[in-house]
Amino acid sequence: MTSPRIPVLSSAHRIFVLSRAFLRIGIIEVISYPMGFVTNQLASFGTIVLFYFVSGFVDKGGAFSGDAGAKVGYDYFTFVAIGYASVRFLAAGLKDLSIQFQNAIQAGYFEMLLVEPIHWHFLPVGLVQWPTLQAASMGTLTFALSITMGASYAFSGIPSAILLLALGVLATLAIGILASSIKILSKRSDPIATIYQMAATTFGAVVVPVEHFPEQVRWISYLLPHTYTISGLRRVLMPQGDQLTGPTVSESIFALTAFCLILYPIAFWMFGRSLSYARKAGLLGGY
Amino acid sequence: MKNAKVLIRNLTKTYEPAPLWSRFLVRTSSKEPIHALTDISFDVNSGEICVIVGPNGAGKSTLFRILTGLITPTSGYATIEGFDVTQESFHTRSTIGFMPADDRSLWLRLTCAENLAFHGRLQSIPEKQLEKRIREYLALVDLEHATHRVGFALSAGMRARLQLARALIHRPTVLILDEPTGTIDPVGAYQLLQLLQKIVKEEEIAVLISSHRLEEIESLDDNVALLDKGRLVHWGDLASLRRIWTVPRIDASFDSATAAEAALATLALSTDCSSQQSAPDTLTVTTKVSVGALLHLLHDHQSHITSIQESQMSLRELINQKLQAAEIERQETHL
Repeated sequence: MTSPRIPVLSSAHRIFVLSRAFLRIGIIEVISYPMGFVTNQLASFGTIVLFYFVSGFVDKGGAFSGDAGAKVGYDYFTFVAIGYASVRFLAAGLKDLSIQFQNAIQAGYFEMLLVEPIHWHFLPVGLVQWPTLQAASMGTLTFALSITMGASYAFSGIPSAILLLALGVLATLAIGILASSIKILSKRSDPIATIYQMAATTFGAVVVPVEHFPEQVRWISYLLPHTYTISGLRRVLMPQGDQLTGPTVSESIFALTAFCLILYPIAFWMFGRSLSYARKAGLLGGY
Repeated sequence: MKNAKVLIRNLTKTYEPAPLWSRFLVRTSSKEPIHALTDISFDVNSGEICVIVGPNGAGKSTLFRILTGLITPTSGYATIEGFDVTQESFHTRSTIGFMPADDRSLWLRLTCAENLAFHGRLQSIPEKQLEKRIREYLALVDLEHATHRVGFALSAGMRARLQLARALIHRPTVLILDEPTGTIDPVGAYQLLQLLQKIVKEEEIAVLISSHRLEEIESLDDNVALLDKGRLVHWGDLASLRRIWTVPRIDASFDSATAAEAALATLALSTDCSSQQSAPDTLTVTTKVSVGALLHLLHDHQSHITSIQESQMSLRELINQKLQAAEIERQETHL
C-alpha cells in the first residue's frame, strides 16, 4: 500500500508555508480591486475627521475641564482617536473574518478549501491573516492622521500598546472563530459577530468612558475585550493617561489574557462541533 | 491481484430532517428522512476508471462528498488507500485529487499559475519543485499559453482543464471528478476525457468520475456504477450490463407500406419476436433470434425487403431499462 504524504501541521515550517499561502491569496485579492482598497482606507479617515469636529464642538461647552474632563484625559480628540483606531485593529478578528468566510462560501471556493489536506481549525486563522495586516495598517494610519490633526500621544507607551493590541486582536479572533462556527451552519446570518459588534460599538468605551454608562449596564462593558484593549491603550498612549478611570494597564493585560485562555478552547471546540454536525447533516456543501 | 485503491462497503447515508433549532439558522424543506445512499459496495483499483451514472438525485454527489470527507455516512464505510474517509479524512485528503462540478471552486481572481501554486502549497509540494510542477501540469492540460491569465478570463473548457491540473499537481493516487465535462462543449469534453484516459494509463491511478453524458460513459468503457435513488442497481463493465439486458433489434425496410404491413402480420404469429411499424415501410423487430432465422420467418416477403440490419440497443435505452427494472423490483419488495 502506498503511504500518502501526510503534511504535519504541527511543524513550524508547515505553519509558515500555510500562512504564507493564505497571505499571498489575501494580497492578490486586494490588488485585484485596488479602488476598493483605497476607498476603504479613505472611509476610515472620514470618520476620524468627523471625530475631530465633534471633539471641537463638545469642548466649546467646557466639557474637557473638571471631573468630566478627567474621564477623557482632558483631550477628547485623542481619547476618541484611540477608541476609533483600536476598533479598526480589532475588526480583523471579528468583522473581517466573517467577511472572509462569507466570501469563501459565496464565491464557491470554501468547499475546495475543506478538501485540501489542512486541519480545518487552521482555516479561520489562515483566512484572517491578511485582513489582520490590513486592519493593522489602517489602524496605524488612523493614529498617524490623528497626530496631524492635533492628537497627542505618549510614544513611550508604544511597546505596551502593541502588546495590548496583539492581545485584543487575539481575543476578538477567538470570538470570530466562535462566530464562524455558527456561520458554517447558518450560511449567511452571523448572530455572535453581529451582537458582539453591536455591544462593542455601544459599550466598548470607544467614544465615551465606561463610567459614563449607568451602573446597571456597565457590566456589559466589562465582558468585552474591546473595553480592556481601548482602556489600556488610553492609559499607555495618552499623556495624562494615568489619571483616567476604568481598567488599569495590568488589569487590561490580565483580562485580555484570561479572555484568550477561556475563549480559544471554547471557540475551537465549538468550531469542531459545528463542522462535525455539518458533515453529518450534509451542510458543508451547497450554500 | 490488484489492490483496491477505493473500497466502499455497505455505505448508507440518510439525511435526517433538520431539527427545529437549526431551522432558525437556515430555511430547510426536509420533513422526512432522505435516503441518499443505501448499502452501496464496490471497489476501484489502480488504473481503473469507474463511471458513476444515475439520474439527478441518484446519490452521486453524496457519494463523492463522503469520499472527500465533507459528509459522514450513516453506516458502512469507505477507504482510500486503506484510510477511512471519515475517521482519517485528513490523510485521505492528501491522497486524492478532487475536481468539483462547480468551476467557482477556482480562485477566479488568481492566474492559472497562482491557483496551482496556492493548491500546491496547501498540498505540501516543496517550494523548489512547485514552479516546475506548475509548468509541467499546465503543459499537460494544454494551458501553458494561459499561465498568467486570471480565472475569470478563461473559457469554461479552460477552467475545467485548470481544475484537472489542480487535481493532479500533487500526484494523487485517486482522482475524484464530479461531472468534469458538465460545463464544456462536446469537443472539449472529448479532449478532456482523452487526456484523462492517457493519464490513468501512465500514472496507474484510480478514477471515480460522475457523468450525465452517455457518449462519455460509452467512450470510457470501464466499470460503471449505476445508481438510482441511492441504490446501486448495476456494478461492472458495460458489456456485462449489455449481456444481461440487450435484446437485439433488427430494422427491416420494405419496398412499400403494404409489404411492411403484410410482413408485420406474419411476424405477429411468431412468439420469438415482437415487432412494430417504426415507419410506413419499416419494421423494427426486437428478437433474440438471428437475422437468418428472421429472414426464414419472412420467407414469403423476402422479395419485398430492400434492406435489413441489426442494431445494438442504445445505452440510453439500456440504462433506462435497467432503472425501470430496479424500480419494479423495489416496489415488489415494498409490497
